[in-house]
Amino acid sequence: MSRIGVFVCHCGENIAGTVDCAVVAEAARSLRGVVHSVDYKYMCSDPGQKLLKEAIRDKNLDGVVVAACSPRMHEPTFRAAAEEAGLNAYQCEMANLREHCSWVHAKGEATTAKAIDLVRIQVEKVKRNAPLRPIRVPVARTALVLGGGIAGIQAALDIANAGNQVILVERSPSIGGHMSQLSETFPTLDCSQCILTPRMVEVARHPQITLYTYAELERLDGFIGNFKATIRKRARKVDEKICNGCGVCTQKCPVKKIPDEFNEGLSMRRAIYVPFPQAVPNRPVIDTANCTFFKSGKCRACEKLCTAKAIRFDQQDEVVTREVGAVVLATGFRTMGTNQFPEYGYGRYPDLIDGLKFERLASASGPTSGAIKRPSDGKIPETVVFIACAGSRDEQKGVSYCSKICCMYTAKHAMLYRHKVHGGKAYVFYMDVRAAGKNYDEFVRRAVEEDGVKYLRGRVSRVYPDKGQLVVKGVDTLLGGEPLEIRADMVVLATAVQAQHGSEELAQKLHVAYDKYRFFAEAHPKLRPVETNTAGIFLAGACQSPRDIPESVAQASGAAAKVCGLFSRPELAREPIVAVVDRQPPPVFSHCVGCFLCRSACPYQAIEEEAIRTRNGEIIRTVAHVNAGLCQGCGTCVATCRTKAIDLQGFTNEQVFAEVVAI
Amino acid sequence: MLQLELPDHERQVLCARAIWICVGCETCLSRCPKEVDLPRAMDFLRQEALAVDTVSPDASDIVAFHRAFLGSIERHGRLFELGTVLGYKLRTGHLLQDAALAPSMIRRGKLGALPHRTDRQAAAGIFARVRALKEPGK
Amino acid sequence: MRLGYYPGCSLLGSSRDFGESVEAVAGALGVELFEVPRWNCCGASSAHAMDRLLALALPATVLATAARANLGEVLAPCASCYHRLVVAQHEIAGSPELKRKVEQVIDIPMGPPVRVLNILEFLERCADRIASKVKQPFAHTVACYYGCLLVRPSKIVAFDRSEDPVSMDRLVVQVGGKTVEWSSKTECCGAALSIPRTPVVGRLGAKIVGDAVAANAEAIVVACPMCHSNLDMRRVSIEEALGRKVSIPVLFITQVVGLALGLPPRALGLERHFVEVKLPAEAAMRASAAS
Repeated sequence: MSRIGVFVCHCGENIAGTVDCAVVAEAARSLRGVVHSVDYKYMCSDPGQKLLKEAIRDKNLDGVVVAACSPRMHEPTFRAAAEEAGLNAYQCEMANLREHCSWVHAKGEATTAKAIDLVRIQVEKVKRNAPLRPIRVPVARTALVLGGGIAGIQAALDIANAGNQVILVERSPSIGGHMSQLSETFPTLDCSQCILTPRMVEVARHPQITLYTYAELERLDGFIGNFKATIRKRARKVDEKICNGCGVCTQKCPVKKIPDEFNEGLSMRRAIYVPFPQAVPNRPVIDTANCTFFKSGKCRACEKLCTAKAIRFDQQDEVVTREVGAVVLATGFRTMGTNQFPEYGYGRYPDLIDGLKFERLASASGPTSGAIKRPSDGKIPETVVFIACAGSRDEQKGVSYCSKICCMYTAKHAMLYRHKVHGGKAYVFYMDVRAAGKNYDEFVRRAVEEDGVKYLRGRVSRVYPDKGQLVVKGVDTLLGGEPLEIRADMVVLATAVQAQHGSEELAQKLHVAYDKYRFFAEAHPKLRPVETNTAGIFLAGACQSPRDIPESVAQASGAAAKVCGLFSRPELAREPIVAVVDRQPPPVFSHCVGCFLCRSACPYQAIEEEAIRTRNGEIIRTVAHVNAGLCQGCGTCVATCRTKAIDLQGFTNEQVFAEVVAI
Repeated sequence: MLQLELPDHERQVLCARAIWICVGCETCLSRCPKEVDLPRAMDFLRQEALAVDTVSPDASDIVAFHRAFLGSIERHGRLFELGTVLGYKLRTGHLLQDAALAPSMIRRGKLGALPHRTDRQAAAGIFARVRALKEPGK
Repeated sequence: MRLGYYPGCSLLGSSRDFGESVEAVAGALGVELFEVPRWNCCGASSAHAMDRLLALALPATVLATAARANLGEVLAPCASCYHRLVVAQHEIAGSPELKRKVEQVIDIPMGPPVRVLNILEFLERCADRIASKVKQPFAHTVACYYGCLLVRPSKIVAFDRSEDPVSMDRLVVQVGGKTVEWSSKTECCGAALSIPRTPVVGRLGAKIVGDAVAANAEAIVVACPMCHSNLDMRRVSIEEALGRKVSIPVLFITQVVGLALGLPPRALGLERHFVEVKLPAEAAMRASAAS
């Protein structure tokens, strides 16, 4: 026979103002199984909780219903109190008399009657509650960081410095990301590579960090604390351990005309190459799609000339699997290409470039050693037009968001141009100037006031070539909207920031949510910005949405903190509200018939196969088994099961049915 | 005018010459990032200006041309170019405009002396019913 | 191949050369054209500038009549007529209320939708036939001028691309020609302002013609009678705006294709132009035709 205690909370006037709590407590007293029923002003207060604990001990209660606010408010409070009094936490339930009753109805008999109904429903459920224990799951204290840009580097360093292992996987041959392509960073105009490369070296030397470059994640199996990552290390065709980085191969390779990705196509690289001089690791890689040997079997010049005999044409990809406890996604972004702009020439005018190309022109280590030169003829442009919001905030181009960084880098570009070409004219066509960070607005004002950059508020409707220059047709709306034409020697588009290539596929591999722009989705936009809805996978940097370097670094450290929090205990405790497949004595063994409809229905890949065997190991039957570590307790499998062989602990079919019947 | 709904703006716009100079090339719609239907707005403004009789005097010849054009269609069902041009000249008083062009057009067989006819009743009927819908009872 | 045919008013009069070339080329390609019976003017830009309902009713009559005559597809060589027919059909299809009103005005039921083809789509469709019948490749370098209404608004017209279209260029190349890259492919010629505001047309045309000449084109090829008229008939105004004489001829795409198919210039209406069509091989051909 049950011994249930009911505690009706007034919540000050929140409940008592509309519901007659004394009447509800009185009504509960007469329910079968209820041996104690009181009402009180504030159950969540210390005296209120004392009331609860004393009643549990004195009256030997084996179930408790707290009729008060939403469980989302105080369920943990009351469950903890119940545990302290010696009652299993999961035998304490809450009836929501506030959000579900007093806050949505007017004062009256019907409202009180509904409150009584709500209490009765929970009493019937609690009578059937069984004690449950949190599930303990071991944690592998290794983090997998995907992406070797500034966010990935920061996250890796923070996690490693806290004493954990880190595996950093980067798709391209070197870490560094877009930040390594920048010339100077706003608002300080620090040389980008100068502040980045020390971090890159730190990552390479760190004893706790394993760096896999030219590698990609193939699969991720498992669950939080217990992931299994399958990583493909692509063959560089160079033995990294023997190579000494002398660079002779990259100078002697006869294939010279491959557009250099790092320099955004402004220069050429060879078939065997190191992406940039400060690359980490500083080891070359052979581009087998363009290498003469791989295309026709001839050449082998690099092999002959290599001082360390490190070239390995027969090297194969290596696939490794690693156990990791958490994953940090830091895969970065790409920029919209100039070919997406029909009104600016479909990207066919060589002197109409995007922001990243301008960064390479302005970079001291770039193809022009930092001189701003026109890609078409190498001359120094005397008039440069910068077009902000190129593609961003433009529904016609399918990008309705603001790319956040362009107002700042456009000001920076205009300033750099004016610093390098003293007599040059710089025009910026803008819609709004968004400079919201620390020292950001001052930075833009400096461009206008000290460096003489001319800001025009208006859009550019068309750019077309004429006699070697580009005619820019725009408008200055602050001066009355007169159309104006500027003949420019170079036009720089601040193109939209978009999701990295392959984001969708990666998100699907990891079962991480993403939005229509293929940016990864955070668990809650305000309060959980570095987590995803997939337990154990965290976000850092622009792969979530456009952002600048300080934000990426801050978020990376935030993600690292979450990972370290996860790793701080040897075991993870998870809520036991999970599904369980029933087992019966032989000859039934289980009501599960092995149809595995539940497996297709489960959104979390939590259903596995389990073989029921004889003593000799022969398989009698294969039934479903729920991985308690992955199961999120959604109940979809319970609804799908044809034979009702699977049930949800804490919300069993019997309990829920009892609730319904009690109405 | 659309955002603020202030009567001053309305007056300014409806009296403007610009709405009549617009030829409807639709470049504006093609470039607009918010795909604001400006050609439709222009059509509407023109019709409003006619309805409240605020056509800019600078644009009177343009309206005259349109009226001559539509008059020709109402009468003949198809465009009678010579008739339209004469109608335009009479309405605007630009009697000698393009006068030199006429003989060369005729020589090239591009200016017929007589209108091409089609089902005139059908055309007239359409115009009449459109007018009736706008001013019921007239 | 059998197609409905909506010549439109200008092909009967001021752009008679266009009409002649369309019919000559259709004939040479074995395409039967069936005129929409008792067709009326589509209203062009004057109708939609003055009266929305009228602007829908006039093209709707044409479409309804074509549907009634079982012409499921209609070729409208005039870009303005093409534009009005397509847009009117789109607007009426999008609003049952509007459809009801229009049907009331035109006094005929609308019938099933009619597919309207512009002259470039038509020629693209005949690509194979053209390829097999080319007798004299059109070996000239030209600037293809598309004008406004063939490619805008891109969501409704859904033909080619609205900036830097390529369909006409491809046709010219197919018949042996070369096309230049130039920046005024879709810049407006001034359209209906030809009569009430001739200097404006002169100025706009001057930019277009100037650009074509600067790109070293031997001729400008168009697919719209209004464009042709403004660049050809209004050449004097253009020369006034440019401050110099310019003799670059303007040809219709159907005339270009017709010449490649070996049709005589006269049959293609080339004699009716204001600016003499003088292309090196052309002069020779006409000389031999005259003798």
